[in-house]
Amino acid sequence: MFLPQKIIDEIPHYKDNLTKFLAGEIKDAFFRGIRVPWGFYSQRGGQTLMSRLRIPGGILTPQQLNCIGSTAKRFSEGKLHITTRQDIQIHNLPYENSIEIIESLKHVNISPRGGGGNTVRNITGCYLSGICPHENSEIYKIVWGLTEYLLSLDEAYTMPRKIKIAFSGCEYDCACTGVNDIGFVALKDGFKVLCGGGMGAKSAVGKILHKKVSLQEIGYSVKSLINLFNKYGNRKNRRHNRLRFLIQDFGWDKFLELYNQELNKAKETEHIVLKTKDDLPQLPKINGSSQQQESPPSNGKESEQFLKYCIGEQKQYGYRYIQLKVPLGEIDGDTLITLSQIGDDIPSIIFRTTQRQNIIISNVPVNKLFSVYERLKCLFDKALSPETFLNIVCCKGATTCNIGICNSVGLASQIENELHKITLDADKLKDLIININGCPNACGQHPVGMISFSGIARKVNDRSVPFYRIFLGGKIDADNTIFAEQIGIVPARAIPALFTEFIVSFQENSNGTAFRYFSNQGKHHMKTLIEKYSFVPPYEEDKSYYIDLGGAEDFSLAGFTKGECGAGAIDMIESDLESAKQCLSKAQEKDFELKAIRNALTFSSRALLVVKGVDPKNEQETISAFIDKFINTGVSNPEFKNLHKVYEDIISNRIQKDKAYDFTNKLYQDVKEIYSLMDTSFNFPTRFKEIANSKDVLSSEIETEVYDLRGTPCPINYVKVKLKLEGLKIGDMLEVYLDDGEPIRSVPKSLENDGQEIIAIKEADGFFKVTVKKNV
Amino acid sequence: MNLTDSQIERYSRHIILKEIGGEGQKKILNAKVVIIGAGGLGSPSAYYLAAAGVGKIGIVDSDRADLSNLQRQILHFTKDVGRLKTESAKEKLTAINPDCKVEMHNTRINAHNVLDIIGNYDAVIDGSDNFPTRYLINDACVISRIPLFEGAVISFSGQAITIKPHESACYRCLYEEPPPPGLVPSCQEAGVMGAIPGVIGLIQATEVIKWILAKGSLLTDRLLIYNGLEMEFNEVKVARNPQCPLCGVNPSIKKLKEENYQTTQVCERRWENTGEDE
Repeated sequence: MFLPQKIIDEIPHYKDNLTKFLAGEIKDAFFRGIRVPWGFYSQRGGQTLMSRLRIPGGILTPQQLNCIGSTAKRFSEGKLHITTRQDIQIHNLPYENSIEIIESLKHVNISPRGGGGNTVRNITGCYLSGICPHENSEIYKIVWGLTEYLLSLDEAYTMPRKIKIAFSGCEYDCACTGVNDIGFVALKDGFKVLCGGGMGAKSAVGKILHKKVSLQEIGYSVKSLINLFNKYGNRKNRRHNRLRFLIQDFGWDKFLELYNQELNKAKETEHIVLKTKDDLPQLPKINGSSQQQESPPSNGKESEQFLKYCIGEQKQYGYRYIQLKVPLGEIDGDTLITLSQIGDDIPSIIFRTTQRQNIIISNVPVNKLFSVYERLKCLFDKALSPETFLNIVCCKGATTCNIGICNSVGLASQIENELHKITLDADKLKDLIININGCPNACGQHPVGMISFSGIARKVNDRSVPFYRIFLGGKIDADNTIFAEQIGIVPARAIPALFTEFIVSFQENSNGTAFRYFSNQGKHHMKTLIEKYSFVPPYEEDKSYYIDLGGAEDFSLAGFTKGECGAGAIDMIESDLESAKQCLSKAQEKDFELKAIRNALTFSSRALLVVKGVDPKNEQETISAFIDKFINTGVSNPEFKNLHKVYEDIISNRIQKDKAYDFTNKLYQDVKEIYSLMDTSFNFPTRFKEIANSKDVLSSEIETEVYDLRGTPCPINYVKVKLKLEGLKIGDMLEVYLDDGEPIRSVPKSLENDGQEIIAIKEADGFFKVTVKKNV
Repeated sequence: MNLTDSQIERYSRHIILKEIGGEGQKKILNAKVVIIGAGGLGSPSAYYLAAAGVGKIGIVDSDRADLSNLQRQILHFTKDVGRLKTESAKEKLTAINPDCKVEMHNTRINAHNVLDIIGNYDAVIDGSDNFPTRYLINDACVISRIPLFEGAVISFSGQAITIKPHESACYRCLYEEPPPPGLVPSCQEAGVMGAIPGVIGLIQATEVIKWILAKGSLLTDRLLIYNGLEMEFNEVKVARNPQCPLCGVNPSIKKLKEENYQTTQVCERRWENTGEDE
């Protein structure tokens, strides 16, 4: 996949704002609105960042993997985390190094752009795309094409909230399409489209939007949903603005009707072609003796297990893939670099990140399996031994996440430790997946877990205690996806023992698969266990219940702050309003200091410009834009129409301090009121209709500038008018004096041909006064 | 930056154009373009870029003007025979337009100096006359993501293509490696009708100006083939090659190594005319 030029072009904008932020010129809340859509989240404690790199379809070349590893090492501590959306996160990143991440990785076509914020997030795909014997379509090509298309689309960065998209290559639905906002399942001859799925608040399974569409229609379908979301999505309430809430608010039928309108419009007015060409290297054909497996290394049993649990067959003859279990998705830069070096010997290999936070090495020729195995053994202590085939999917929880409640990582490792103490039946447990989430959100995918946990805090004996909800029986299957059922709530401290007991009983009492047991008689058994383990002793008797797993101190929600996932316009508005307020009170304290008043005036004027798509470069532009967008349109009170003059007077110290303060304070109050009237689509009511209507008259009377071009011959007079108009704003008027003869015959006509409007031509004493309105 | 009265007059025929205007002319005045080779291709493009007001033009050439050059390398006059081509070029270009600052790089371009030289410019015009240099310039431009305006001529034909690194096909997407020695015409056969490089050089200059203005459709992913003898213009569609050793998915060329670009022949080889049967 290639990064669209748009992303490369936007890098200086990020760099510029980072520099300003580091120099203290812009506030954190404002900078957040810029960095989060660039995939940089602040980590718990606020000192460092997490950078979420999008890996479309999870596919990585050795070169890309190497670059991620070395970049992480060079600019942070090299701590990485594979997410359930197949992204790779770089943790503990100093703010100033964020630009280095962007710059360093752009050369291998990887970027964190759109990793966070109200964007289209990383598009996931089934992790065996292109090599899977079952697949109907090699969907990774579409994932790449769609990613390239969406990343270069302006409207995909300013949506009411994020959109998650997934593709599965067949009905097995390894990519969990049913719990994405938009899901595509490849059929034999086309794609089923699901819409409105999602996990977290009000989890929902996607409904069937199309029974079947062709490849060519995919782009139109996604674009129409984005248009629909942009038009009707609820922008003010972040908790109520995913596609599934839109469906809920409209009802499915009305939603379908609106969608079809958008779809028809898109098909008529847009030309969307997804570039789905194959960029992966061709695999050399394997035949003859080289398809023989090498003789296994000395340790027979170990390598037997390796073959049984870690290897899969590809549809390409003579090639295999190797599954590496990356415990909790935690990995480091050095490991990635070493892994990538396998590519030096076997250039055909491609790496894949999976939604279960693991890594797959694909395209390994059969005769190279054991030499790769030997290399992997040195790297991964446990990853290849069957004792750890237990697959735990886990978010970062309270270790780094601002909104994490419980330490999900701590629970995961304790469960693992505890299970190692009993004898595990590899055959029975090979399909078991455990999902753990540190909070009720669903980064760890607990709503679809076979067995899953999500953290909550409860007050017991007047103290906070970490608890987990326990769920059983979730299943991923496109539109037949089943959400796990909540069985009960237990203290975190009790879970490792409870879980071990549950597994022992499963191994003893059931002959079927884990899923079948967990979704039937297992539920009953779990209820009894929860009753047994749910007691929390008083603090004085056993403090351990009041300490989170993996922690040392009493459990608290310290460091818990507002999430920044949806950082965007609202944050920027509120940050500016807050700054304006602070400047005003500072001005009051310091005897109406003009500098503070000036800042308050600028912050107040700037606050709402963001939703008008204006990004002023300096104070002058800010003031002009506010007049243009809010005063001249009748949204703000006309008493501020001399805003520009007041601003100039403040700068040049020609105004009474208390008057400047009163004016600014009133403006601030007015902007706050306008903000409170803003609707969910970011529109404002016209409060002063007469102003909005009389705007043209006003501006033509007041702002018309005169340009005397008498004596200037053709075509230089026309050239000069053109240059003058370039410096004006659309809608501005200019009065031009032109000589009789060729000038008056030719210049107005040429201006009209350019698209400008000739308002009037008046004959004066031997020359002509031509009034031009700038239209283009 | 505001245009002076004499600039308004000098560039008035540009400013009149809707696609250029004052803003576009300012873009041209701020642009920095380097021309590699002050020969048959470089001469005409340098003249028009200087006249158009391109703010900075770099000329890279280590040769001295020879009597046999004058038939097509119109930057150099009879009096200039034996003089460094860069000096001769600077004199002519500055005389046309004092707005244009000419920088002389009196050196032969190689793997060690190419990145430093082109790194100071926004765009590169290839006016070189041999394969190793052509590949070197292509590789350097793709690595440093600087747009490249390619042109080549032989006898009565010429070709041109515009390369936007990592966006459109590069020279190696078309032909991974230079042709083996002996496949292309030897120096005796490498005659060229003088006006042919004039046509191709001006196509390169037109492309550069369009790119500076961000207007129109560039000659990207299209190879333009000009046959002056039959007076035909043809176009061959080309596309980025995912297996391209330079800008593909798994590139093998990541650094410039001098040994990959050495001119072994005493006699310089020229670009073959290959487009017709694609």
